[in-house]
Amino acid sequence: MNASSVPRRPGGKARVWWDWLRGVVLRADEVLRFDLHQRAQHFLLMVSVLVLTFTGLPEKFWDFGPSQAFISFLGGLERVQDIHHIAAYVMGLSCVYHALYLIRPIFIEGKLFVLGMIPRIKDFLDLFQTIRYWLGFADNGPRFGRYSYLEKFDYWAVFWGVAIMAGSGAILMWPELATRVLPGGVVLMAYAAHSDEAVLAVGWIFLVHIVRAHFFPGVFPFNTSIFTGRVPLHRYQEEHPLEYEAMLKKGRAEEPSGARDNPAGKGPAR
Amino acid sequence: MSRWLHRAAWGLPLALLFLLLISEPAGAQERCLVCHQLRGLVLTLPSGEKLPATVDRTAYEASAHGEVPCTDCHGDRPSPHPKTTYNSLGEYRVGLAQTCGDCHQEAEGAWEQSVHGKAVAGGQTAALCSDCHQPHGTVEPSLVALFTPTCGSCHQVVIDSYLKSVHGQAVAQGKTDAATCVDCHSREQKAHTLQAGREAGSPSSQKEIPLTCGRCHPKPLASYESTFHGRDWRLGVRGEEPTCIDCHGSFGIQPAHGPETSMTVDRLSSICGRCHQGTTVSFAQGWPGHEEPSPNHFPLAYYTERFLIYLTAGAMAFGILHVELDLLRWWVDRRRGRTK
Repeated sequence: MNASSVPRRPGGKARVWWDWLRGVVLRADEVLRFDLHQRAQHFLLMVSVLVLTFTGLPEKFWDFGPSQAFISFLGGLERVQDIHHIAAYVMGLSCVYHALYLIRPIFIEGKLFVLGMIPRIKDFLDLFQTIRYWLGFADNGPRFGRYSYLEKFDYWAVFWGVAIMAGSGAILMWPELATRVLPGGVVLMAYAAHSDEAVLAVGWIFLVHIVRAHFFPGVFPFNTSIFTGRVPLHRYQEEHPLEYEAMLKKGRAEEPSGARDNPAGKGPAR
Repeated sequence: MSRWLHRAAWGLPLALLFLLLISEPAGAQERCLVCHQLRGLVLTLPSGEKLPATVDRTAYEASAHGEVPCTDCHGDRPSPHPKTTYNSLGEYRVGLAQTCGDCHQEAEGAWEQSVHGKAVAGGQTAALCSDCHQPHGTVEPSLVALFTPTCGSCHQVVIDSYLKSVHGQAVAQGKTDAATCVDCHSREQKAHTLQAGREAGSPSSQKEIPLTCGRCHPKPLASYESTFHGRDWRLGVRGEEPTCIDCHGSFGIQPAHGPETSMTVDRLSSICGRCHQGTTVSFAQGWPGHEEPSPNHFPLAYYTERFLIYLTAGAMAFGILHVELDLLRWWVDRRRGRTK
């Protein structure tokens, strides 16, 4: 990164990196899709889910030889559970972070929540259009806005999954406390839910989410956008055409001269 | 006259006794028993401890050792006997175990590895051969009915508790397959290889108890392993997880089912409270026992599980189908020359 592409600002190298992280500085051929908060939330969630998976699954499938080898490698089940609990707190932290992030516009801009993730009728029509496209009744799939219906599904799957896993996990962590307000049966219910919902979550993440995000044509083998926040402009045009057009419009409205090559370079309007 | 009578009254028996002692054909046993069948014979050891030296002739002759000459075990001891080489009862007892081992090598070797043998080797007082077996007697302590008095002669408190237990009661009713001391305390279920619960690898140690109980109670063991307690016990290394005896009791174990059950919800909450601080009756009500959830037993957990299984199947089918059909359509487009 040399001085010609990045304008010199006070603060030296750290400042340059910080600006890059925040997405203040963008190349002409990229769009900032995720702000730093979103990326940080995803990172916390991703790390905690990975640790929870690799400490939780051996406990669920403890009969399986390699699970026992892995557990004794880590120093016994008690330590595996300690690691699992620490990762659970990290996941809880990411949830609090996300909740604060969601209500942030109220305090900063006086606006209500960001509604981008709420399902609309268009999402169901989009799914219908996708099915028509798969079956050959249509030449093109649906044109998506900021979030496609599958991305919304992904988001709400996490929302549901974390609620179930954290709720049942808390009951299993503090069963004495939980049964002070709830009937005793909830402990066994939480045990069943924690164990089964985990399989759904892990299955979805590894067989659908990661495959869809990284192993698809155009992004294979690794999609960096959730870590850098940046998406190449041409892909953005393809994958989120409606959002791109909206950004274009907004960019034109703000800059009537239309002098900029990349109106989206200012970052997407949320 | 009275002087001669007096002399004869003492001298004649003494002379006869002397003749008996020196006459070989009578055999070593006969010679020893002349004196040692007299009641109340006691040898006072240098330590001041007293060692009974009387042998019941009838019992001895009927015993397994009845044909064995005294000298085989006691050595050739000319009369009058030389001073004993043992200073204390402890020394004498250690010597005794070695003497038995001269013939019963296997039993003695096994016993040396047992909790009793190790304690004796370590200078403590613990059961050795003659405490359970009578060298001059006919009683066979390995009979089920005789375990409890035999072990109880030292372990009175636990035996009292055991006799009131479901196991002890069954044995008292003549059910010889019910657990006795050796069934839980010896891997081979033999009295010569008894181990204490505190010994690692012992069948009554924390890591082994469920397997030991499972020898007779396989179903509860299987269900225990499927619960959080059992899984933690299997994979844990700190040895803190509860096993069978922590909830059901050990020596005084009571039946888990039936009218006399010890596992009522009221009792359960105090049992759970031993490990789980601040428990309520509601907490104990949440314990499923050794039974998987079913529509009648903890339906909430059962239907939660069913629901999540269908949800998982449905969601995964949707997700995987979506991914696969997306890829298929992309591949079809590409083959038709529509790059994307």
